[in-house]
Order: sequence, then C-alpha cells, then structure tokens
Amino acid sequence: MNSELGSGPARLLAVATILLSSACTYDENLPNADLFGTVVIPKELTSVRIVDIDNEEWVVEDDIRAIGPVYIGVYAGIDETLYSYPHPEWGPLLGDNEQGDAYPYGGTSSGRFAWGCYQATVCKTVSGRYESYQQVLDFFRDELRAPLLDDHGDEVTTAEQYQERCFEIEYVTSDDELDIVGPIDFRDEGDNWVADVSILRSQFKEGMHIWGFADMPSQAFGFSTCDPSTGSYHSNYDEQYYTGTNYRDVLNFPGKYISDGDLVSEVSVEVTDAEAEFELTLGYKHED
Amino acid sequence: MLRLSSFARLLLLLMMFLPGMARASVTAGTIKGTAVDTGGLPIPGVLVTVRSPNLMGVRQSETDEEGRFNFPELPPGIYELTAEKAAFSRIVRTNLQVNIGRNTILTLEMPLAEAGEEMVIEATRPVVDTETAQRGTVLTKEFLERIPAGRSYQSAAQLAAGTTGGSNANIGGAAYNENTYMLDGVNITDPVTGTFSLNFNFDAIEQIEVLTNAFDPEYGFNLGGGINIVTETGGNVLKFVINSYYTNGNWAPKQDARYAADGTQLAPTDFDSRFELFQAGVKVTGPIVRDRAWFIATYSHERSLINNVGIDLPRDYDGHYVFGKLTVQPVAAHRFTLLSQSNPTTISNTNQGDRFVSPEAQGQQTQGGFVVSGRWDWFISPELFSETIVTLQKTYLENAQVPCTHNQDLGYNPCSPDETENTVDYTTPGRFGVNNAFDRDNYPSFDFDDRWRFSVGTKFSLLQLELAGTHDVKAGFTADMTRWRRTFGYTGDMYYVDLNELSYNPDTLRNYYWVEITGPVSFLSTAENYGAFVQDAWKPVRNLTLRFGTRYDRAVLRNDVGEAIINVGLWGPRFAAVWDPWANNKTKFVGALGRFNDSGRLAVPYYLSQSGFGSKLFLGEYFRNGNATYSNGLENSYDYAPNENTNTVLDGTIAPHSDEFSVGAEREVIRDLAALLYFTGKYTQHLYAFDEINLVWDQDGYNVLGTSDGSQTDIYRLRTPAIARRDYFRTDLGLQKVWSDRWQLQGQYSYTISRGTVQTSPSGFLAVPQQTEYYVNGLLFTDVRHDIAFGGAWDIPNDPWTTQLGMLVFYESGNPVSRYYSNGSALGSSALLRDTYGTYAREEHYLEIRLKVEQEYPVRKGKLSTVAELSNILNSRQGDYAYVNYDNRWIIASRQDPLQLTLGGRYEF
Repeated sequence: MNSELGSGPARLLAVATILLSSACTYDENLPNADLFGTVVIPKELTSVRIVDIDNEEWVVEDDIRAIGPVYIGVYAGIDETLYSYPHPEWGPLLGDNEQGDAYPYGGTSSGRFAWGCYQATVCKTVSGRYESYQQVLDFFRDELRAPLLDDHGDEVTTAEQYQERCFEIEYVTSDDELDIVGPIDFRDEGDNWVADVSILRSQFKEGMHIWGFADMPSQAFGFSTCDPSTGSYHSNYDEQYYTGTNYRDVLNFPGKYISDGDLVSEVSVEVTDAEAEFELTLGYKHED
Repeated sequence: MLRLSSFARLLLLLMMFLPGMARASVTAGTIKGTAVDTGGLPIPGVLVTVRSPNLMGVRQSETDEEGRFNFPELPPGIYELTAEKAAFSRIVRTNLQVNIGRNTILTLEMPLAEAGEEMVIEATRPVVDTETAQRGTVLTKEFLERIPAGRSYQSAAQLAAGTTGGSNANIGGAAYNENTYMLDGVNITDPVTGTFSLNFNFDAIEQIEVLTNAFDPEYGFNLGGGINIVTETGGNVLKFVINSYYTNGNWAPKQDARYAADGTQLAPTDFDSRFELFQAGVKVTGPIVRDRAWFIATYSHERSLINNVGIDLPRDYDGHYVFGKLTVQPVAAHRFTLLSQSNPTTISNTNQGDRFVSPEAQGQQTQGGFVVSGRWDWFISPELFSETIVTLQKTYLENAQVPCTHNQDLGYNPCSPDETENTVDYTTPGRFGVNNAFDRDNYPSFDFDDRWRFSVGTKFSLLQLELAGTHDVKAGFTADMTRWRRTFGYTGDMYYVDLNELSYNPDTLRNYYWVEITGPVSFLSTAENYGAFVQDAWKPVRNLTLRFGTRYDRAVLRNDVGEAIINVGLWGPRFAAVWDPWANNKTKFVGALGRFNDSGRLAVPYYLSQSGFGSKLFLGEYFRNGNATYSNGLENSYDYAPNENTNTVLDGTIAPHSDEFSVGAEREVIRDLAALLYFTGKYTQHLYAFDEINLVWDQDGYNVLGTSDGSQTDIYRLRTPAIARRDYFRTDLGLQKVWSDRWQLQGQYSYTISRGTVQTSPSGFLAVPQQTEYYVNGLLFTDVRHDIAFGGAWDIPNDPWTTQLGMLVFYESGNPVSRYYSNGSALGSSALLRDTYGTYAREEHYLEIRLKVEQEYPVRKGKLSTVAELSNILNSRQGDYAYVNYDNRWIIASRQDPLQLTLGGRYEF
C-alpha cells in the first residue's frame, strides 16, 4: 500500500493547504482607528446652583449625579475665535445668518440620557451616574428636593418599588438591561473626576483634534442637549409621552447647545499617533 | 477499466477547461463492486446486468481483470442485479437501493456452479457507502410515503443532522437563505432571497437528498446545505394515482403559549385560531414508447384556511401545482429530458398579524411561476459521459388589495354596485391609522415582483481512469443569470393618515396628515454567477478513496442602474479521505476539509439601488386647527423628488465563505443498520454586512450625536469584514437502517455550539453601528444544543392487508434569544445577538411526535389505501420566533403549532 500511495497524498495536502490559505490575507484597508483615553473634570467646576419654583436656591456640590452627558468629538481643527471658548472649526456657512456645521471624524460620549422609568426623569437622568435605584431616589429627594412620585402621586420610597416599576414597563428582568443604574463612569482621583472613554472607528487624520464638553444642568435641572419631544415613545395605560434623547446634531453644532455652566475643554488634544492614549480636560466653565 | 491514450488524455484536459455550458448536478447513483470466487480472488469476464422499473432498458457490463464492475448514472430507485459466468453460480441480487449521489457497493461471491444452481440474495442492502465523504441523508420514495412528514419535502428535510429552523431550514449553522434547492439538477433557489422558490408536487418525488457538509466540488452549493430533489421518471407500466387529504387543527386543546422576556412561561391566552388544509392530487406515469420514452404528469391542489387569534378572515391559500417530465432515450448513448413545473397560487387576507385591519384593506398575494428545463445526457462510453442542462425559470409575487367582490357572504372587499368584480383600485389614495387607530394596513400599496433565472451548464465525467490506482474525474461549468424586476408604489401616489381611533368610520376622518409619494418605483437588478469545478475520486488502493478538487465561483451582482456592486470570485478547494479499514464495505473512517463560497443573491445589491420614493408631508386639520402652534419640524424636511440612495460599498469586498472540516466514522453494526459518529467544525467569515459611515454614536450606541458629513441621512456601507463570522461545531451520533425486512429507521442526536457575530447574510437588514461595541461575539440563533431527529417506518406483515406505520420524533432544546439591542433603527431588525448586555433567554425546548398509519385494502384492480396522520401528538408548545416591541426590546413570542389530524385516501391503478 505504501508504495502505491507514494508522495501523492502529501503533495495533495500541500496544494490544498496553499489553496485554502490563499484568501487569508484579506485586508479591508478601512481608514479608521480606535482611540482610547480619559476625560478629566475638575471637581471644583461641578457645583450646580438649583432654583425651585419658589425661588429657593441651593447648590449641589461635587456630585457626579449632577453631571450631564460629556460629548467628545474628533475634528479637523479647533477655532479660538468663534466663541469665548475653543470650538471646532466650522464648515462653509450655509447662509448669511446661519452657522456652518462642524464635521466630526468620530466621537463618543460619557453617559447619555437614560430615561428613569418615571415621567419626572425625562431628560434629567443620565447613564453612568447611578449605581442603584436608591441613589436615584435619594438624589431627586435630597438634592433636587423633588421626590419621584408614582402614578397615584405618592412618593416612591424604596428601591424595590422603583425596580419593579422599571422591570414592568421595560420588559426586563435584570438591572444590567437598564442603563439608568450600573457602573459609574467616573472615578474619584483627588481633585478630579476621571472617566475612561473610547472613540471607536473614528476616521483617522493625522493632526486631528479631540475636543469635548459636558452638558451641565440649568437652575431647573434641565439639560440643553436633551430634546423631550423625541426618543422612545412611552405608552403605558394613560401615560403617553416621549422619553427624551439628545439632539442629533450635538457634535455638529456644539456651540448651539453649550449654555451657562457647561464645561468645555480649553485645550484640545492633537492626535498624531492613534495608538497613544489621550487625556482631555474640561477645564473651562462657560458663563453666559 | 479505461486506459487512455495520449490523445484521449489531451481531450480530457480540454474538456475540463472547456467553457461549456451546464449545471453541475447530481441526480443519479452508482452500483459498483467486485466479483470474487469463494477464495476471494477476482473473477474477470463476469456479465453483470442491472435492471429497474426506473431504468430504461437494462445496463450490462463485464468485470475487468480485477473483477470490478461499475454502473454509474443510474436513476435512483430499486434495482435488480445479476452476475453470470460459465462455471460459476448465477448470482441475483434484488431489492438494491440506488440513492442520489451514493455508491451501492457490492462484493459478489460466486461459488463454482453445480447443475442448475442459482443463488439469490435479496434481503440485504449495503448501508455504508465506503467511497463518499459527504454528510447528509437521502430520503427515498418508499420512506417518504410512510413517514408523517405532512407531504412536505421541507418537513422531511428536517431529518438530516444539523438541520434546524422552519421550512427554509438552517443547515449547518448557516442562515435560512444560504441553502441551494435543486430539482432534477435544476437550481430552483430564489435568486433574490436565497430561499426555496417553488411549492412542489410531493407525489412526483422519487428521492430527496439533503446535503449538510463535506460535499464534492460538483455541488455548487452555498454556505448552508443543499436540498436535492429528484423526481420520478415514469416507467413501462401505465399508472394512475389519485389522492386526497384533509387536515384539521381546530379541535386541538386550545391554549396559546406565552413567554415573558426572560423566557418565563406566562398563563396561556384563549386560543381561537383556525387551521384547515385540503390537498388533492392526481398523477399519471407510464410509457409513450417502451424503454424509449417515459412520462410523468402530476397535478396537485392545495388550499388552506388559517386564522390567527382574533382575526376574522382566514388567510386563504389556494395553490395549484403542475409538474410534467418527458424522458426520451432513442438510443443508448443519448437521453433527453424535458421538465416543467408551475405553481400558480393566490393568497388572500395575508395580514394575520393585526386584528385591526379592516376586511377591504386586507392584502392579496398572487405568486407562482414556472421552470422549464431541457437536459441532454450523452453516454459516450460506459466510463465517459456528459450532461448538459438549460433552464429558464420565472417566479412572481404580486401584492395588492383584495379584489372587490359582489358576493357579500365572503366578507372581502365589497364592490360598489357599478364596479366590475375582481378589480383592484390603483388610483384611490389609501389611509392608515395611527396611535392605535383602525389600521388599513395593506390597502394603500401595491408591489409587483418578477424574478427570472436562466442557467446553462455542462458536466463531464470520466470514470475508472487508471493512473496509480483508479480515478473518477469530473469537471464542469455553470453560467447562471438572474434578474429581478420590481415595481411598487402607493395607490394614487398618496396616503392619508388619520386619528380615527375607536373604529374605522370614513365619515369621521380627521386627516392627521398626508403624504404625497413619487412613484411608483420600478427597478431592475441583475446578477451573473459563474462556477467551474474539477474533481477526482482517486482510489490508490482498494480500500482508500481520496476525493479532491476545487471549484471557482464568480458572482457579479448589479444594482438597479447596472453598477456591479459585488464582483467577487473565490476558489473552493475540497479534500476528503475515506478509508474502509477492513475492505468489506461495512466500515468507513472519513476526514474532510474544504471551502464553500457564497455566490450571493439579488437582495444584496438591492441595498445600493438608486431607486426610491420621494415624498412630501402635508399636515392636516389636527395640526392646523386643533393645535395651530404645533410643529414637529417635519413638514419642510420632505423632498418631493426621488430619494437618492447614498449607501456605498467598500472597495475590495470578497466572497463570504466557510472553511469546514469534519471527521467521523460509520459502521454496519448489525445487518442493514449502521451507527455513525461525526464531528464537524465550520468557520464562516466575511459575511455581507452593512455599517454606517457617517454617524457618530454615544458610548452605548443608543443615540446619534452627529454626522461626519452634516447629513441627517444614515449612510450605510456594504462590507465583508472578516469579523462578520460564524463558528459552528457539531457532534452527531446516529443510526441508519435501510429499508429491509419491512422496516427502516434513520436519525441522530446532535450536540451543537454556534457562536458568531452575524446570523443572516442579507437579504435581511444587517446594519452595525459604527461606534458601538460592534460585532460582539455571542451565541447565534442556531445554537440549538440538543437536537434529535428520528424517523421510522414499518410495514406490519398482515398480508394481504398491509398496514404501514410511520413515525417522526423531533426534539430541539431552545435556541437563544438576546433581549437587548442598542439602537432600534440600526440593529432592531438584525439577528445579531450579543451577550454583553442582559441575559440570554432561550426559547422553550420542543418535542414533537408524529404518527402515520396507512391501511391498504385489496381491491379488484389496483391498490386502495386510507391514511391517518397525527402531527404534534403531545400538542407541544413551540417557541418559534421573537419580535421587537415598540420599545425596541426583544420579546420571546410563541405560537403553538397545535395537534393536527390528517385523514386521506389514495387509489393506485
């Protein structure tokens, strides 16, 4: 038998291997890069002044639950002259009085508007800011002085009650599926809050700039980047409303949404090496 | 055996690379073997003859100096073989089964003759094919007639290992649209969707081969498996068959299973759905000229009435299937076959998913088409032959409003008194309801869809070529051209949307808003697929077969303006070794590896078509008067011009393909019964996938933060990234008992792991957000860990009143369903499953048992029988799909496929 087989099978195996491996060198040549880094927010800039309908004022200090979404974009350049803070360069003006777009190569956020299962939380709760339902309840009751109320107007007092409401209306069975509670985006590093961010599949242009801002709440704890008339439509018995989401062009027209108290990066990060980690500090507090 | 001259070898080489025309197909089987004396020495010069009711004339051959004989290209069926030589006993082997693509390998032991002695061996059939490597199963006519498969070849196909899912099965972890359907060597796969395109006459089937993996290059199949149907040919005896069947699922225990998002079973709801099916058919087979020209003609009618819960009007399926085949063999060297199948069908009240659809708004779908095929088989010599097939196929789908009727009892769309019956109104604008208003779902739109296929191909076979052993060499080429013409639009190029919330009342319409549409849209998309292969089955020694070869497939898929969106080609080398260690045709060890290519389908370039609707929004009284200050910002954002498709394709796409290996063994453990054990690994990469190129997402992939081009439009890009993949591993443990001693059994247990990033290569939606955790590897829908499929048939020996029993058992552990998606618009419709969020839920496991009893009655002429078939005897609740609710979250839904009883009768004469 051996003599009949000879070296034929070995040759065939070699040919088959070569043929099988012939298409293994496929490269899509995508002009994209994943950028990784951190965003830094000085704690001293995060205090928020709240004014209720009775004009009573108080300050929420050093509380990450009062930090709105942080928007980070990658742009061709930063212009110091457009606003009182550095702002991404505009594209061509659309008309006499119309602002041109900024065109991000990529971007991401740290936190997003995540509806907190009650209408009172529309455009007021942000993902990555609460570890538990109790923290949400505590924040609304103690810091905003506006406790969450259930359908009957009674205060929601226990985390179990809150969780049950969320599970029921969101058809979920675990907290992991609700972005409102979960791991906190920011970690405490002395004088700063620091969050890891990843800008996946950004178009890579050498010399591009990473720039960003944090949407901080207004005196009524509203956020300028959130549109309460969009987002998922909540329909449950007599509850009919949108749950709110960010405006779709936040990174195209950031100047339109940056309002009093928002934190902006004074110095953008120029990217020359896609592999190098970046650190973006939001060190400027904008005041109208 | 064939020894070739130099000229013949040159001719062979030329033929291999000849750009001839024909479809590579396998529609026949082989009887081969060796004649030996009682001492095991080969006997040359033995005259071997095979005959069969399915074979025109007889085929004869003399054994060579090594005692070998070979009868290739035999139509599948039951055969008788005789072997005779002076001084030896005459051997007769009856009841031999020839299967599609399989070898029936015999060792004929011929003792020295004593006066007048004839040795007849009839009961045993070879059960292990020790020369082939492909995995799958062949379902013979006699088995199909006995098992309770609901007279559906799709149901019968579920018996093959690694086959899960519905009528368009997931084979080998592939998507439902990656199989290839062949009818008598003709590719009848839908050129757009990749699914089966013909509802076929079950009565005409001779055999079904379900190929799951490790098949030779001549099978130009896809990433999934192949359903290879071979029909009857006719015969020298004129036969008529009349049959009729009625199925009812209404009387089953009425409970409809429901499941929560985590798979927890909830209390059942009332179940008031309806299922009735009526089937009737007639078949005529016989000779035109004995042993020269045979025919088969069949007609089947199928009508079903199905209501979903809460729906008044049944989905009314009315299908007519006509099949005819003429086979002519004027001389032994040439055989011509002309085949035709058509299946005009009407489906009324197609929308069974929403009880808020008014009767006159119900849609009607007419569908069907035809396939016409001509085939020429040229038997140049017993070892050298060719086949050439030319095919033309058309399928059509037409969706529109139910035509009006003056018969008020039907409850369908009533005609106006002066309106002509059966007319469809293409001019009056339709109307939708919003916010739970009465839904006039299908009324405003129409869709006409024509699909064509023209294919030509050729295959040459050169068998028993002696060169360091023996070789069976095959080579062929296929050209397959498809086109898709689709016209769709809205009646009157406009539709109204109203807030008529409680019930539909034309007198109280509020004209919430209305939209003007450009249209109708009409486009033509085309594709050309070319495939060529060469392969060899080399037997260097008697008990070892090395099968190797390659195919090359090129696909050019064009969008509606003729742009070649996809232009890919890839080699598909395949290699297999089959070893019969004891050289007794009872055991084999198999190892195989190979590459299988996706030749694409017209749904892929559709996403880069230039055709589209333009539209303009008008706000109605609700906005103008009821809330004059209200503005949703949409009124001015509509363009009344055809939209331009801005999707793009990445340069350098390559053909999706699977690299597969399998190892296994089969052994005949007792007479006619083999046990088998196989392991299969399959790595599928570069599936077609779309991603966005201009959107910037937040960290969770929920919301868009901006666009890189300032556009409000999502721009998608077609890619074939390596990470768009599936990894599939399956272990099969099975039994295979061929039909003998009045019973047959086949089936297996399979343990499967299926992970990957994408389940379906388009036609479905498959968009992946650019900047989320894209392509997360997770369990796929085909991850059915435990899968059991067994079928058995038994003829109770109570002659002359034969009773046939058949049984099918299917068990599937539940498939996984992810409940959490990041962005509804991009991912909500894809089957991408991710395990980074939430927990997996699995659909409930499912056990189905089917039984069939057929009782024959002696009649003066012919054969009369009655049939009773019970499906889903346990009334198991089947979790069969998941859907996205309004919050873009996956909900496991379940419908019961209830206990059904079929009663029927058949008369043959």
